[in-house]
Amino acid sequence: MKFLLRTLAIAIGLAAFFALGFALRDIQNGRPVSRRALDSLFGRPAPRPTVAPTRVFADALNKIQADYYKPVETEKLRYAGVAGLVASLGDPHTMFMEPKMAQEFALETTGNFVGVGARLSPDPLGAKAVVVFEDGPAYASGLRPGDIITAVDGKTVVGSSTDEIVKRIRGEEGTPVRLTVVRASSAANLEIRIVRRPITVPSVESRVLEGTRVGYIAVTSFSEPTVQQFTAALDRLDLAAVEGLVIDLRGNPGGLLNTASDMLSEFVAGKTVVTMKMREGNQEVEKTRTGRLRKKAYPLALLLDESSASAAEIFAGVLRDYGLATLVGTHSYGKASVQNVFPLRDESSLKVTIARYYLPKGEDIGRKVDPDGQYLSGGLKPDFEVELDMEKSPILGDLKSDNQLQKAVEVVQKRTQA
Amino acid sequence: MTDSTKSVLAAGAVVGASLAFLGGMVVRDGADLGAARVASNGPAALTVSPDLLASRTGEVDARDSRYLAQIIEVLDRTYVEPIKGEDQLGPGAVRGMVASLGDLDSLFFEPGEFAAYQARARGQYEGIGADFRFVLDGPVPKDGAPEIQTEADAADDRGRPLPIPKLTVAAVAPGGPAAKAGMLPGDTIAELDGKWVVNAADIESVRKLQEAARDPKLSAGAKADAQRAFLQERKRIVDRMKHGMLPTKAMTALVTGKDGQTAVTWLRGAKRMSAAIEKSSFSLPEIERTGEGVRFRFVTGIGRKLQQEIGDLDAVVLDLRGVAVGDFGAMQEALAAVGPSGDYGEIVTEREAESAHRPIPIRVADGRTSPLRVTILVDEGTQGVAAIFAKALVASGVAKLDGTLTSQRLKVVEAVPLPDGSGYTLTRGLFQPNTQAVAIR
Repeated sequence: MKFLLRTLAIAIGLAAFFALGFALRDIQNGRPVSRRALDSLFGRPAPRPTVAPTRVFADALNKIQADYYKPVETEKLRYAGVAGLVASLGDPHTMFMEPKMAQEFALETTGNFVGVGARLSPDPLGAKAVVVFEDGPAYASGLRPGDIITAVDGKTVVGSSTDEIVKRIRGEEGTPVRLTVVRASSAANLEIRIVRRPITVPSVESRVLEGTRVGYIAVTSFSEPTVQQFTAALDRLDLAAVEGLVIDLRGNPGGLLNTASDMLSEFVAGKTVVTMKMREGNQEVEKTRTGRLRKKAYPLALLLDESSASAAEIFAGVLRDYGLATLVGTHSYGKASVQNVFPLRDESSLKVTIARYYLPKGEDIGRKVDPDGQYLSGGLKPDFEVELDMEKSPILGDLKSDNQLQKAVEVVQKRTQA
Repeated sequence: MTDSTKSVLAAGAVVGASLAFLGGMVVRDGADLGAARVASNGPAALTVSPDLLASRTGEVDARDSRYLAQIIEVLDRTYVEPIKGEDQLGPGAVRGMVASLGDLDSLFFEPGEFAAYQARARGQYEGIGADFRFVLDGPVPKDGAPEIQTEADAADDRGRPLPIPKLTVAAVAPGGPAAKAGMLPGDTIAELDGKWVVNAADIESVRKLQEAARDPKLSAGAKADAQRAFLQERKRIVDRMKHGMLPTKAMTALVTGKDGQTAVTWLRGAKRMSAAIEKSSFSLPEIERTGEGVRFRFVTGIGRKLQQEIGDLDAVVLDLRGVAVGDFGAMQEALAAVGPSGDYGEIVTEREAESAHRPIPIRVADGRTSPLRVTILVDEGTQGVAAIFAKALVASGVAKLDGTLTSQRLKVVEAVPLPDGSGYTLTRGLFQPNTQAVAIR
């Protein structure tokens, strides 16, 4: 009897340890033990008897790596595989981002990095500074648009790619970088010493349109600093006593929902921005904040084109649904989904569509395409459909040549008079 | 109990508990990675016999599997819709990997397409009754470089002209719909059912202009110029693209389907031809004697059938016109049925620096012992294993060629099936014939 009990105790103990080992993964992740794993343990057929994707992936990775007739870069192959796996969901917005892409994406959404505050373009002599931010350290140290950077810290950059040059100019905050610069107006090379600082990339550009009392704000993305830049632009235009406003969202691929929501709080208080429907019927409603409403209300026209997407469409759709803005241009892209970014190991990340959103009036603007990927429907329909007139060689934002902007101004002016 | 017995027991208990714990973890790994209950999907060779070109290594890297398992877990938990076909995910990964090679002959096939591909190797045709391949204009890329530039390569190497793969007729099945319509090997497909078969060069030009316009480094003025160039070019292409289809999709449409009409426009040099072609399914015999010679396909078991057909003749004409796909192992059988024992060449790779990648000889050990004069009929449609077979016999002095082989680089391609019925082809190497005479000793 005693022997039996002891055996039983040992058996139970061993089973407990086995169970602990088996469930460790779930315990670490703080969720119930995976049903599929249990089914597999007790020999019950899994819901779908199939070969696990991980297995198919690993087999093919091995096979190609071992047997392909040209040298194989395993890293590249692995990333291509993961990207392909994620792409097989058929959602263009759910994607795998390898480290370099993930980094660029993070930079885009924060709009912040440490640098000197200039935009470069390729040049046979090195890199040309095409834009120098006036509030950045490069400008303060004397770098001007049009300058050509031929060396960084004394080392020539002739023949280097712009990416490489940017990488060498960027660095830790507070450290100096020395640029050798060729300037058209000066015979000798200039040496410019710049101390690196955090840079905020401007995503908002504003002015009063010449010959009118209409303000113009171009918003190029919805990143973290955009809210502050947008509010500042509104303040400046208020000081200039504009009587109407055109907000240009053409080519704006969107960005952060919070940013759009905060910007909308300038126009509507405590109202629904979007209703997000997650999986399994879970809903979440994003509302604008209260107490940030602008004192003065004036007619708004928004410019859209097919590259206006995501947060840009939310911003435009919400103002339209509350009767605050007229939409001018062509239909927008039609991205009616919300993504979350999950960081993975080795600095890659996974962007996943976690919800579909619906505008305040319940409209689903999701893009529909035919089997060949051609646009069928979706996006915001403008109140005034105006194609950009290519004959005039338009410059976007230029009242003389940009016929979409002309229409928007006309709409605003009519409303002002009414 | 003595102290020593006690400590032995205690140690035993600890070891037992640890083993049980570890056992639990291992079983769980198996359950999560699908390795516990699912048989390995070892590649059943289709075009390459396993003993000849066995995979060089076969270890599954568990870390890669866990990395992927983590990604699948995130998708499973957060994606806006429940993931319907989890078994699509694996093949999706393979599609991505195969595409990243940028190789014209390493292609991923959906289940239906893969079945059709395998059937064609056996002489069973669907669709318009033709084989297709992707052909590149311009020089063969240097060793190690991909044939098709992927986006990543293009970004590293701007300014290099981009190769343009074209959907090209590889071979036309005799008596089939394409043959009746007058299609010939070497023709390229321009339109299908009123849709333009998209040209890579045009896609590339739009993409480049778009990228240029999006370049954050541009000034406002330069950006407006770039934007304008992009919009103008896009409008021109979009008008065509509205009625466009991808070459891979066009190929699928042409080689699948058992009935219905399809309108095809194809180019022969500057000449443009169109026909409404009735799809059908039909089979060509594995081996048959025609007025011109013995026509056969490279299917497993063909060696014995060829031997029977040739018997004790002292001369034979082998008709390989229009044979573009087949099994590599069967090709070796056929070699042994026709040629004496000896070395017929080798399969080389561009990875000679790696010790595992020495050339693999193509050797016939149990070849023909009585003399045979062989003539091989070829045309532009003689491709793949058929071209390798012809080249091997001609270079070694066993056979004479009647016609011209167009293939320059003779690629050895393996077809690998995946568990869901899809599959992919993978280029294993290039065939290099042995130019020394092989004779009966």
